[in-house]
Amino acid sequence: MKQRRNLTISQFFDKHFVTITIAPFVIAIAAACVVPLVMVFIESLFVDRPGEFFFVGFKNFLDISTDRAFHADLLRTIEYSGLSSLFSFVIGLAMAMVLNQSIRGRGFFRVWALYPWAVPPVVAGFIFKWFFNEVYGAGNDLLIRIGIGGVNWLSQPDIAMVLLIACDTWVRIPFVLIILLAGLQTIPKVLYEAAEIDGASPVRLFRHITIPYLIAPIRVAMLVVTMFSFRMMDIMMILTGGGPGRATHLFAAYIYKQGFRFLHFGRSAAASVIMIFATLLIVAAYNIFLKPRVKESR
Amino acid sequence: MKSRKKNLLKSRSAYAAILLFLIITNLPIYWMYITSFKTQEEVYGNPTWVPKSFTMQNYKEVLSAQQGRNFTFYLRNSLGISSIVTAIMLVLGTTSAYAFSHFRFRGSGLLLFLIIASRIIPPISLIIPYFKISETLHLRDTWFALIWVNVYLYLPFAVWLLKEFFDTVPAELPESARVDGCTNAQAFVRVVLPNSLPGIASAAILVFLLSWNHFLFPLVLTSTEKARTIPVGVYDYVGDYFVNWGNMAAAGVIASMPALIFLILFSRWLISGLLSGALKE
Repeated sequence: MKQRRNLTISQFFDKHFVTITIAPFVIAIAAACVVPLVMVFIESLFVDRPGEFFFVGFKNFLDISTDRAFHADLLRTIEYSGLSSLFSFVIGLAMAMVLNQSIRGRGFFRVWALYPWAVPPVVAGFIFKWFFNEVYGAGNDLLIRIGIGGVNWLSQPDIAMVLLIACDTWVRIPFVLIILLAGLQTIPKVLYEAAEIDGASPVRLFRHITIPYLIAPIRVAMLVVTMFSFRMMDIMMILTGGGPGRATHLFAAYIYKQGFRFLHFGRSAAASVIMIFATLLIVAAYNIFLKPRVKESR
Repeated sequence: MKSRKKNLLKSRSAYAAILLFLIITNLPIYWMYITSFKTQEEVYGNPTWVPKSFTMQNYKEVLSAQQGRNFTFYLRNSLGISSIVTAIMLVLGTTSAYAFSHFRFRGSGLLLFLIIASRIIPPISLIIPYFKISETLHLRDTWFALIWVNVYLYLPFAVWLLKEFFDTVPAELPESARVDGCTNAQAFVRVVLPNSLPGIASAAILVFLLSWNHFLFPLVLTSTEKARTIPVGVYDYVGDYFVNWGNMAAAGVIASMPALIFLILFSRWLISGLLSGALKE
């Protein structure tokens, strides 16, 4: 008892080192993450408009589930994040395989391939908006030269969606590329050499060596890509603003506008809760369908 | 001989593919850069790939307060907020990541799970609570609110990253320092930190870049220029009746400065941070 009293500060600090280092972290996470998360679940059960605040149970969810605008936004967001994931995967994997060959200047290429990922997403949206401007844009100028330019791209629903998906893909490719390239570099070269001696075709090499080795990095990279494009709003806000009409309006923008256009905080919170569960579904889907295959050699 | 020829052909077509890819992906960025240095007349003329004129006029206009936009303010806010967030990460993040990595304690599994789980929550899902809290506590338009949000956004991420790096530091290092009479804290500062500087640099660079680039919460939590950050300033141009593309391009270039600087100077750390943040799950 007396001995404990005599602990100096530094001895006390040393004895409780783990507690003292972990406590601030726990408090920070509780204050910045857990509290808002609990709040959004509670809020989703209330009608919360200027001057009104009362409990309604699941009515907000019912309202959303019958809101046709929400259905359209949800479907569009699935299309958007699905296609963006698909394209960034195909192009990212292809470029990673090209970069994986023993070529000089790989470091240089790797850095500049990363550029679109590193600019703020808002700026990425601006870059596309300005590049494809129907009068002054350079991309438009190129398209005119091959005979399909001069159109006000962003005023046509389908083309606006194509541009939006293209911009998202453009932002995501570098991330996929970098991670799959690192994954490719862990594959022992001996495997390919041995299989080539056995006369395996490139397609077989790809299917039976490359893909099995890459499953883990593919799962992580593509989970991040799908999750992040599913919640994306920055690019849409600046590139199309959700228009023309509602043709490119995404889920995240639905949450934002319910809250800050229509001041319907309860409904916005309910949509937020749906977004959280949808994200959990994405995580579950990736973990089920892209399980690391622990296969013994046949 | 034959295989050498084949290899040469292969690497040539690889170079061609890579160059084509880099040109296509970097062309739109190049277009923003050259637009920002063009005169008004050239911006609003036939598109020119090589600027005929060179002027800093757009930057002058953007950095002087115009139409209620004060980019010197935004720049100050972005720099200040991102720096403070990075500093907080460095102190809180390194110490707790070290504890997670080198000590077993009750609840460490649950806390690690929370770290991963918090990365799954979409930030957009928390805009209502964050808005209401900062409204109630009168924190709108303050740096404090945005720094706080960034703790949610990037502290778990940074701890995750740093834990990966600390895991590679052998346990014998701090242990032998302990035997030599160091306290835990001394062992951490004197032995572990110097051995994980590249990892810490990666985490710091990533956190700075991501919090600088972040758009959603500054949009929701600011209504004046007091705490507004650069990405929101860039977005603001879209609402103009007549969009000044030259100015907007200059604003975009300013907003992507950290991206350019980090890519040129610290790309190795940026990439290693990206990889260790993503590869292990």
